[in-house]
Amino acid sequence: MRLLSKKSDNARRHPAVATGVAMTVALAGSVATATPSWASSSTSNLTWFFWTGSPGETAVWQHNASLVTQVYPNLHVSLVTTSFTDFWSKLPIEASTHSMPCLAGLQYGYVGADGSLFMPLNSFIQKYHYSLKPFETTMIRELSDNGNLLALPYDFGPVVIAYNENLFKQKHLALPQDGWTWSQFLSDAKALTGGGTYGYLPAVSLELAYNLTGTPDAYVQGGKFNLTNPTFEKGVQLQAALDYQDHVTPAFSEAPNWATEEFDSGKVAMEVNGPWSLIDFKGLSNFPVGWVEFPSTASGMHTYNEGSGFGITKDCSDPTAAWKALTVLVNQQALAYAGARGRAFPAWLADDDLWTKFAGGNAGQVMETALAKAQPQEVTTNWTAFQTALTKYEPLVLNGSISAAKFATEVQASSGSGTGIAPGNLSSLLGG
Amino acid sequence: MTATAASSTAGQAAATRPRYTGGRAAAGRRARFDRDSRSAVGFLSFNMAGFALFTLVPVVLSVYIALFNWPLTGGRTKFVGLGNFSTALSSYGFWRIVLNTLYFVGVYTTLNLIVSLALAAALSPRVKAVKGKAFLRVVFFIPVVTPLVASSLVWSLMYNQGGIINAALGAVGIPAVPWLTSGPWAMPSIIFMSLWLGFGYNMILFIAGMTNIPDSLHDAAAVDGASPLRRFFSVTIPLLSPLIFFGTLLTLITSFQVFVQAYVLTGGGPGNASTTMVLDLYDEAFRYLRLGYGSSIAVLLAIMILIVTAVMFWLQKRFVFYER
Repeated sequence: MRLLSKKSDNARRHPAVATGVAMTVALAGSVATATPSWASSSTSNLTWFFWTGSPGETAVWQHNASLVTQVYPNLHVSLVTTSFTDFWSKLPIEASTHSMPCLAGLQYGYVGADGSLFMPLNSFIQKYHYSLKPFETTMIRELSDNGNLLALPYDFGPVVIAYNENLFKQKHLALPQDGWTWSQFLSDAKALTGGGTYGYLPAVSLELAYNLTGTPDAYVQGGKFNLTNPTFEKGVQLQAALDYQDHVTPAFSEAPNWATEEFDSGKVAMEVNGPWSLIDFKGLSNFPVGWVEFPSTASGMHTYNEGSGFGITKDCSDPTAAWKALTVLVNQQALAYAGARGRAFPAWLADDDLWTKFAGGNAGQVMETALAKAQPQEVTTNWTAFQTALTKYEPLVLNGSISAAKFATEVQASSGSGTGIAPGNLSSLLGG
Repeated sequence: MTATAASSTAGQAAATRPRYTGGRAAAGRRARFDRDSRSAVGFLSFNMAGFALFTLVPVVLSVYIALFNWPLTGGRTKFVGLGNFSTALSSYGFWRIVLNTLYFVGVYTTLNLIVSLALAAALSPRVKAVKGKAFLRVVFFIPVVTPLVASSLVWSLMYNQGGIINAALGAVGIPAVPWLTSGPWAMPSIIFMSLWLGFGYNMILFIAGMTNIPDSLHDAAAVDGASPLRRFFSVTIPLLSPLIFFGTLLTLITSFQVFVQAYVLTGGGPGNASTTMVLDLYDEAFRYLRLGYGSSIAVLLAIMILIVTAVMFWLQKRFVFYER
C-alpha cells in the first residue's frame, strides 16, 4: 500500500462500486450483530475497518487481529478491508447512519476532515495509565487535534525516493546516495529514460514540493488553506517540467494501479514513496529496490514524516472492549509482525530494526537520516476536497496543458475553504 | 373507418345495451365496482408502497434537505432556505459541470438514436440480405446487461496510454492519444463507451417496432416507386415514432443521470472536463459530506430533467404519429 499525502497513484479509479455495496452490507451486518458488554463473560465481536492494497497486506493485519483473541480470549476482531480511496468515502457514509465499525484506521492527512468520527483516546490513556513513550512522538502529534489523540499510531516514516537498482546498473549509473543533488537527480532521470524505460514516475507530490522549495506547509499559511502562493506554484512547476519539458516520465495514466505497476514492473526507475510500501516491493517486483532521501537543493533536503494509526469510532457500542483490542493491535508484538514483513515502519520505535533488516542494504540508514530532517505535515479540514482536486488537475499540469499557477488557482477553487489542524497541548498525554 | 362500418358498429352497441332495470342493477354495478376497486387497490398497494417509500419520500426529503446546511456526519443542521441553490448557481465551476452534462446528453442521445435506428433497420426481419441477424442482435445487446462498473474498468484499460486502442492506432502510424487524461478527449471517450454500452436497448426496441409495421404498407409504397431510403423515412419512421419518442425520452433521462462511466474512467477529470452533475453531487454529499448542498444539485438536476421531459411531450404532439 502506497500511502502518500498526495494519492497520485493507483487504485483511485477502480473503486468497485459493487464491492462497495457488498462491503457496506457486510459492515452493517457486522455492527448489527456485535455483542457488546466487555465486562461480562460473553464474547465480544468487534469489526475493524481498514484499507489494504494487496493480499499480502491483508494477511499481515489479519494476523494481528488474531493476536487480540490470544491476549483476550473473549474478544474477537473481524477485519474488513477496502482500498485507501474507498475507505474515506465509506467511513463517513457509515457514520451518517451511525453504523461505523468499532475500530478503524486513521491516516494523518484525514485528521482534519474525518477526525470527528473518532473518539478521543485521552480518557482511556489516563484511566488505564497507558504509556505513549514507546511510540514515535511526531505521529502522536499528527494524529491529534486540539489536544485530543484520535488514534494510536502503527507506523510512520519519511517520504523518500525509491529506485530500481537494476535499471541504474543497466545504465551504468552510480546508485544515488543521500546528499545527492537536484541536478544529479535530473541527470540520472534523463540517463534512465530510453529503450522503454523512464527515469521518474509522473506525479505532483506535496512532499517533493516541500523539498524543492524548502517551505513546509506552503499550501497552509497562517492557519488558512492557501495554494495560490509562489512557493507552492514553484514546487509544482519543477515537478511538472519533468514530464512535459524533460520527458523523463511515461505519459500519465488514470488506469487502475497504473503507477504501482509501472514501477513494480521495472519500467520506471524512481518514484516518491515511503517505507510502508516495502511489502509490495518485496512481493510484486523482481528487482532490488533502493531507498534514498530527496535530492537536495540550495536550501538543503526537506521531507515530511507521515504515518497512520488505529482509533475507536464514535459509533462503537463497546468502547472499553475496543480500547483493549486497540492496545493489542499496536503493541510491540503486532507492530513487530508488520515491520518484519515490510508493511510498516513501526511507530513502536523498538521494532524499527525489524523493518530495516527486512529491507536490507542501507535502507535503515536512509530512513534514519531522512527522519532526522523530516517535519510533520500540516493538514487541513478540507483535505478530502483538496486531494480530490489535486488528483483531477494533476494530469493537466503534468502534460503542460495548464501552468502551475493555473493549477494552483483551480485546485484552490475546487477545494473550498479550510483551515490547518493543530495538535494542541498534549503535555498531559506525553508526560510534560 | 367507413360510414357503413360505423353504422353497423353503432347498431351492435345499441342491440347489446342493457335495458334499465331499476335500482337493483345499479346497486349491483356499484357493488361490482367496489369489489373491483378493492381488488385494484390490493394489487396496486405493494407497488404504491414501494413507490412511496423508495421514490416519493426520498424525493421529498431531498428537497427538504436541500434547504439546510446539513453535514453528513453529525454537526448541527441549519436552515438556509434557498442558500444552497444560490451557492450552487454562483459557485466556481458549476456551470462548466452543467455544460458537461448537457454535452453528454446531447451528443450521446443523438448518437444513440442514430446508431440504434440504423442497426435496427439493418437487423429487422424485413432485411433478407444480412445473415446471422439473431446472433448479431444478441451480440449488440450483451453490453446492456453487462455490469456497468466491470465494463467501465475494462474500457479504462483499453483507453490507457498503452492500451489496445492506442496499440491499434500505433499499428497504422497514428500516435497514442491520452484519451482519459486530456481535456478535449475525456468526455468523447466517455460518450463512446456509453454508446457501446447503451445502444442495444433502443436497437431491440426499434426492431420490435419495425416487426409490427405491416408489410402491405412497404409493398404499397414500393409499388408506388418509393426507394428503400424513402420507404424508411416515409413509412418506417412515422410508424415507429411512438417508440422513437419513448426511446428518446428514456435515453435523455438516463443520460442526465450519467455517473458510473465518469466516476470509473476519469473521476470527472482531468480538471472538471468530464465532471457531470450526478458525479458532482456525489462528491459534495458523500466525499465532502455536504449533504444539503449535494441535495440542492440533485433538485436542480431534477428540474432540468422535468423541463426537458415537458418539452419532449410538447414535441410529441407535433412529431409523433399514433395510428388511429
